[in-house]
Amino acid sequence: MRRGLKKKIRIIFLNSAFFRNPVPVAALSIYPVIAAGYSLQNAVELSLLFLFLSVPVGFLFCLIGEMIPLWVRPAAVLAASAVFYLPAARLLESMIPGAVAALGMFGPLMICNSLILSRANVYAPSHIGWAVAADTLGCAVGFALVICLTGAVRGLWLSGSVRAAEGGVSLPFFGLIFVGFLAAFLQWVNRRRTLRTGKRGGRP
Amino acid sequence: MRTLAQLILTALAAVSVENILFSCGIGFSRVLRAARRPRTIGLYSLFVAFFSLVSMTVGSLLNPVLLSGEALAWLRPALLALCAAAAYGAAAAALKFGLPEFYRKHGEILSPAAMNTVVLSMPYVQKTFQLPLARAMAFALGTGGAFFLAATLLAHIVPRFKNEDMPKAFSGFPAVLIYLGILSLAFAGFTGGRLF
Repeated sequence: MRRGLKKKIRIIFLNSAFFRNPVPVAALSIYPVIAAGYSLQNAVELSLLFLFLSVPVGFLFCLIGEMIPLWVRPAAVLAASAVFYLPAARLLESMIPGAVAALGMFGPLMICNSLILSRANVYAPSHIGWAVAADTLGCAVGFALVICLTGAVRGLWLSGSVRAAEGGVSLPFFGLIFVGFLAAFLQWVNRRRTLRTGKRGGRP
Repeated sequence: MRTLAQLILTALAAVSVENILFSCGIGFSRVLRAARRPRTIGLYSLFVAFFSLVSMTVGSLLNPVLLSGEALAWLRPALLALCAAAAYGAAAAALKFGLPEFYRKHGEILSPAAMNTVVLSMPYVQKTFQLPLARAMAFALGTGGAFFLAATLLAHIVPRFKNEDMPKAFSGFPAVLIYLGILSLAFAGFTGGRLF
């Protein structure tokens, strides 16, 4: 692989996973984090489901996305996500028995996850395979980081462990406030990066 | 008369105390996007209500069949999402070829409205609330109202969170999320906890 391409792929991955993490920066896929990320166990299961679902959907639309007319594409992406949900859920179930049932409605709702649908609809068809792979894996890592952090904090706060607990900070309001603080932290980090780059660029 | 009152109450509940947008955080990603273009909120909400109505009706009709066997129950979420995709496809085709001018102007909000509907009012909600068909339909219309309320509210408050007095790290989207968290806390008071 060419060095320039490697660098670009690394930048895409790091942006999707950290600096431009789509959950706190672009407000995508917020619902699973705030409503279902109330324990680390839930968070890990949803992260795996996200990975198993987003990778095949992303690759499929990288290959065939441009052949599908724009007005049909959202329906095709949703249909593909619905179809790929079945093996993804089976795979999750084989890795963690009872996980799909334990997730309740949060598992099936990953079919229409706004992050998976928007990336497959807009990003994947117009980019090369390497870029789509880096972006999809970056988004999966970014999503996992946010939901696992939220789930761990809530679990520790409520029960002193990573297990699910009811009431209090397990409710969506805490998820919104917590993601708000994460978004503020990322905004602060990105501002500092921009300032640093500006200073470097300003040097003679 | 009593049935009508129940339907109205169900629709009002969907807009207010059982507003799944605020109390569960469902569909926030797209509400935030809708709020960025205040002019389209009304039509967007109508689309959401229409697709919710279709989803609720189809889901209600399919539910007895899908719950009749273990394999079908496993396929249920995927089949219901496929139905939503078909509903969007049919609506988009009808508008694109029947009313091309209307589609050209408003087509871009059709797909997010349809996808949002899958999240907002997929018959998982119906299953949870155990509503009969008529009340499920009233709930679907109420969901459109809830979307309108949330998007209109956000359209008014989002610009206020970009002011100079605020710490720069919190300016914009982070402040919106924290504001929504506080609003969601109030709605949690109405619902008494977790809806799902």
